[in-house]
Amino acid sequence: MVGLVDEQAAPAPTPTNPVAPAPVADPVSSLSAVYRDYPGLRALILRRVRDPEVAADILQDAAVTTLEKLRSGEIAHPENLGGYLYRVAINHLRNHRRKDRTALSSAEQLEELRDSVDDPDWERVGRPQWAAAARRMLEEMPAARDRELLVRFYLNDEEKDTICRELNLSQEHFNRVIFRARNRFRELLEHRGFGRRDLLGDT
Amino acid sequence: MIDVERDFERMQDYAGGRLADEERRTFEDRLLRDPELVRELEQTLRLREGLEQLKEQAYLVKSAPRAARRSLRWVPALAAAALAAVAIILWVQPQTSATGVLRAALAPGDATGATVSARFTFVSMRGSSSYDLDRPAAGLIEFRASPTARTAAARYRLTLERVGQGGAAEPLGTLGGLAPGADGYLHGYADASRLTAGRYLLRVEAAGQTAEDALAFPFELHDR
Repeated sequence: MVGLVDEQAAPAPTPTNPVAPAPVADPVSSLSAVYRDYPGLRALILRRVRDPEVAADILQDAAVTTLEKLRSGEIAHPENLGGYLYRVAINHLRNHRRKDRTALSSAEQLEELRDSVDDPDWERVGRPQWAAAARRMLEEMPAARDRELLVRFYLNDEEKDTICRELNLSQEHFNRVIFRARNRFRELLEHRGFGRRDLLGDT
Repeated sequence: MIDVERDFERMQDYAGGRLADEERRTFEDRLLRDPELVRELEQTLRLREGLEQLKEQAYLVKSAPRAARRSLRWVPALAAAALAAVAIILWVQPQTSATGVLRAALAPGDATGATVSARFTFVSMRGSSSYDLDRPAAGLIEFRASPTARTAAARYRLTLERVGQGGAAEPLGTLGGLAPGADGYLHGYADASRLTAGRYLLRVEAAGQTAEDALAFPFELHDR
């Protein structure tokens, strides 16, 4: 997990714009909370860049930018810092991808990526439970077609229209499956009702 | 406020960098104002990451694209004829039938005392990768395959083939007249000791459909 140490930073300047929101009292802890609450963002960036150091740099840059904006009172809704962090981080990611289009090519790099996502920080934010919940959710779905829909939509990044056409599904059915699956996934994560077998897998 | 009709798709497109500039800016403006949308986006990414992990655990194994299936067309005519003969026999049988190393179900109180020591689940996915799987030293390997809408039928044939050097496929076992279980998967079992390390292909064919519509799941077994 990327940390942020900014205890020696200068005090927040007073905003010159009288209608701008006041800076928050403790931006460092606010931002730490955002990191803790949005591990999905980190997972996305790591998957996209496939290099733990680059991913950490992108998140760090996003954090610093967010912090600076927060200090200067430029964030209109400080209570929704996550939205701002998302926007900045995705922008940094996009800029990075424009500059570096090298693809992951070797088995060693892939192994390194797998190792990097196996660190204690990930366990603290519940990453092992995501796989367990996804597995349970899939296994609870009675129709093979619905399972295929989920995998194609969320993992393969296929378009809704394509999936509906190829699986002969209505848009309403598609929405229903996605809606239920997401609810079930959330429920499973919230209840954390997993056994050892769920977490270790059985392959 | 989440718009079920459109936001699930937008979130995917946003995470995948597929939104046009104006759509992206509109979506990001909403992200800044709507904590619920941020939570839903975070949830999307966790679900996606969970599926990525399952893929790495070989829980979700990619099926080969049709092009890959076609690459095996040159399998010697004799072997194809032999397989066709087996297929005809299986097709006329209403009950599940098994040949070779595959069996359809674990009998209660299995006489061999064998237990499932590895389970490989195959779900159709885009992509052409073959998966590396660990072969257990003993016990049974359970193969679970999810038939797709493309192959939708009441009965299926599951065939396990060994792929030799040069790509020639040799059928090792076939289950015919197979119906999906309560979990929606087709199940087949093979004794791990009868499968050596090497390349394999698990094929799912629906009754009444041509071999061209078959799903093919390539994988490679390695000794642990």
